[in-house]
Amino acid sequence: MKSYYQQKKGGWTLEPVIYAKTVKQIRCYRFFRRILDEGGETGGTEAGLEVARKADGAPAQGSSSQPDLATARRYVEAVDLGLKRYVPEVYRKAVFAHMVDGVEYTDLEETSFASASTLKRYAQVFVWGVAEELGEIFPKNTDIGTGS
Amino acid sequence: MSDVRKGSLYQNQSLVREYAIDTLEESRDNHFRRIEGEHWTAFVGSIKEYGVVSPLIIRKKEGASGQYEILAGHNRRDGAVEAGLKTVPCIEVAADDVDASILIGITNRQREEVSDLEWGWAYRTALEALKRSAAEDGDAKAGQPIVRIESARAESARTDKAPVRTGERSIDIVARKFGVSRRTAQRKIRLTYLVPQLYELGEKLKLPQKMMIEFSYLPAVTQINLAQAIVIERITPTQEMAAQLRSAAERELRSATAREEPAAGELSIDEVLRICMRYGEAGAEADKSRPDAAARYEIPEDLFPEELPKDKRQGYIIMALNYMREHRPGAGK
Repeated sequence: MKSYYQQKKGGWTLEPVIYAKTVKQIRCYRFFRRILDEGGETGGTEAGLEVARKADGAPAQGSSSQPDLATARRYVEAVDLGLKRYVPEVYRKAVFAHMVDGVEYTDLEETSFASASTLKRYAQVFVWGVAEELGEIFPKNTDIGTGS
Repeated sequence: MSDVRKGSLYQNQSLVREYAIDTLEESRDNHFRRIEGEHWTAFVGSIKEYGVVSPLIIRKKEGASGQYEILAGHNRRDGAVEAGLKTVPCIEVAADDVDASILIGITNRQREEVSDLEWGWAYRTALEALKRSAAEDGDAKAGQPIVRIESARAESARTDKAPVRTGERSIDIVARKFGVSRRTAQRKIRLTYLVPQLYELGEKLKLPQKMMIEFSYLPAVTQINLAQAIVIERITPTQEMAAQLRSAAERELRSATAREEPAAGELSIDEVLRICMRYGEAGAEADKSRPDAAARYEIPEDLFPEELPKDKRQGYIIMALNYMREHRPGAGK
């Protein structure tokens, strides 16, 4: 099975479109992070964003596809929160390296003391968690958790 | 409510009229599963052959003229759409939210396989509608009813008197309407506070309802983390584990409240795993049930280094055994 395919078992399977979209958004983490950092350095002005866009060869200002500071912050926070909430600390680095930097599980197995199957499962929960943080999942029963 | 018992309504043919299918909308309070698979094919086949025999029960949708909400007959409506029908027979009732949610529940009572969760949702929607309605005391109901639904509250609205206060709690009223005990209604309502992943796991592993109820008090994120621990780390939950998780979540909530932080008692994934590994059983029960399961050996936890992940233990043991073989007296001779 390809490493970027979804795990079908476990209850964290997403709609294929949502899964693909979320994986791509996670892959863009460093791009969004740079926009946020450089936007932040210049006081959050558009000038900082322009620097980041030029550096990444992103579309020029005025294009509808360019991310703004708020969008970048939303994606970065979703990835950070997804990682913190749903992935145990011991696996965080490895899952992040696979999902964001595309490091293969076989390489991560040696450095992270975790099997590929464990990492795959946590990576799946991580993608599900990011989709959840981004509001991509619409459960029928929205009022879950601590009820009276 | 007694007048809208399914039998008495269906027997009154003068109430049945044909309604266009595209004016009928799904009820958001309907949490009952739809017919699936070969049963669905047979169901649609019968509609194609005989049409919709039993009329649907509907009510006018508030704020949308000409649209109706289905209270009973979601499958029949979908089947009729698939069979290519343009209209279906319906009985229009003037039901408020409370009566509507109870109608949805009681019309599904005769179904063979209704899960505890589906009943939980039926009780919960009725309970919430009742509480909402109690909060809106005195609001006159607009519109002339076609079929009057009797209830203490409807009666009070009609006679313009203060609502009847019987001293009965909302949950007692719901339990009485559905013909179950209060405890049963409360227990099943608790199941609706479980995240789907955890509920499905509970069903699959046949976890006791008492344990599932303990889990239902955990915040949603903690429940997700718990489901991860059960699936990925192969933990078999125990009652003690459930109690420990709940008390840890409550402690977290109290300390967050003291710190004036907007937390909901969420435990971190590492904390959940720690409690699960300490109080749960590491897959022992599941393995014992398999006749061909390999022998298991109990190894004290403190023999392993703290930083060693569980899935690397086998390699560690092999290394240790190799070391012992190489270093046993006379091994080099």
